[in-house]
Amino acid sequence: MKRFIPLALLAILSEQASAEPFAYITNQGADTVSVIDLATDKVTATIATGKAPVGVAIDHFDSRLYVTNVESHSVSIIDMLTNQPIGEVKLDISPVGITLSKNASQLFVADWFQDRVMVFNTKDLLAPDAGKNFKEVSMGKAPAGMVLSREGASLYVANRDSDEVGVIEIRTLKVINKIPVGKHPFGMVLGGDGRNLFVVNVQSNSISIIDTHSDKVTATIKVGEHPYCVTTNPDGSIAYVTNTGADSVSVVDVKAKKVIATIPTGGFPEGISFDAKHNRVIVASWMDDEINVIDAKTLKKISSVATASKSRAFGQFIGNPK
Amino acid sequence: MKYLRWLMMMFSAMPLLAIACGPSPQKVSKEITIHAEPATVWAMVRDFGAMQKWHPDVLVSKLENKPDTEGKAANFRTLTLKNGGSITEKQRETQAEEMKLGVVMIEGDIAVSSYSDAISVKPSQVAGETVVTWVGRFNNKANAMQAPAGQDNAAAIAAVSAHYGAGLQGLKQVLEMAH
Repeated sequence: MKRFIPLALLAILSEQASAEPFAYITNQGADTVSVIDLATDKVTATIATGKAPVGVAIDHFDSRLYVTNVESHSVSIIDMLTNQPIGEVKLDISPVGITLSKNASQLFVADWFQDRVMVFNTKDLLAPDAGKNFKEVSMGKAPAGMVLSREGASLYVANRDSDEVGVIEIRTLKVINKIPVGKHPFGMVLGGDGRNLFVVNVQSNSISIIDTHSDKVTATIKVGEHPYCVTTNPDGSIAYVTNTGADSVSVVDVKAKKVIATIPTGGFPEGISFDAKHNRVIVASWMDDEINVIDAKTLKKISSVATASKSRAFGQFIGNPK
Repeated sequence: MKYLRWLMMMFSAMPLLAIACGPSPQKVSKEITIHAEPATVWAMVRDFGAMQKWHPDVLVSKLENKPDTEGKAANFRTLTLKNGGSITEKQRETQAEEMKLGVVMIEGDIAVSSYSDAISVKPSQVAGETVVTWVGRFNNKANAMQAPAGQDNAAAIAAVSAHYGAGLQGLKQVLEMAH
């Protein structure tokens, strides 16, 4: 390890290494979250959610997990220290995409039916009428995946039916940019280096890479059929994309801008996250009700862990409760 | 009163009709054990243009290789069903080392939308036996969370269950008869 590692990155790496990572997998058909200890690859808890849970967001300050429930039109709030639900925010929408502000004081929920992003104060979310107390931003059709910029000043939103990524300035809640990408952008992730934003274009079978300094697309790379979600390794040099139409993960060399491997997974792989502590990629398989574990070094599927019906885990789903 | 409720249901469903892929897809999974070697079973299942040889509700399968919407060459088949309807499907990408065949439905006279599936062939615990699993993911025909009866989740699940049930029974019969 003689290579130069930026200080900030080192701080992130050591922070991640200090706590034990767990995967939080939403099971759409079981109305639960499976909690998997990534040190042992065992399910250590199963938490009840609302009906048809899909998206996840993790608050590392308060060790809270937020889950969007599509069919019960709500967001479940879960205490990650006890693995118990502590609240359910009732909304009048079917929420899917969800993420938090940098200090976790705000929760962003994408409403893809009414084309807006709802903004909640997390400190008020346990109040009885929390679901009615929000601000909103409209900027494109069918907002899905959402990602915060590295500094936390802006929110990137994949507007699926507008074929573009909208950029919201969080301080003012104004739309400051719209970036055209491929057809039906859905899952997104900020690369481990904090600079590149990776966007999956479901109907173009590709990913777009956006440089968040210029908000311009710098590369478009073909992956497998009907891709859904994406994650990267800690330095952002390799991206991993789930191909729901091909039951595989495409491994993308970001610098070379090409796919360097295609790894078979369980059926209809959706959510994908990087387990930095163990250098592995974790994939949720909707068809097979399991997660697949991929060794990031050998790029081979090394094991599977049974979860529950229709595992989705839309969002970066690995957390370190402490 | 009933009419009013129906009308309200239609209206509440309307804004959702435009959605290409619903947020709460449905699943049917069916499994059958066949007394035949996995290689024998796979040889029959993998033949993309030959479903009529084992599915009792499929009369004809017309195979076509042509570019898909992305301009990539792909296999398509049009199944003519016993009930007079038809289904057009595209073969999904699969990994060569797996005994798995899947399709994406382009259009079909069946109560589903956004349909894709996979048939997997695996050796069972018992030598000389094979387990075949057919799993599908789809939305209801209306592609809406509040769908009218006949186009709702229950109708979609029933249609797919019947299609898989008859197909797997047919596959078992044909393969076990060959012994």
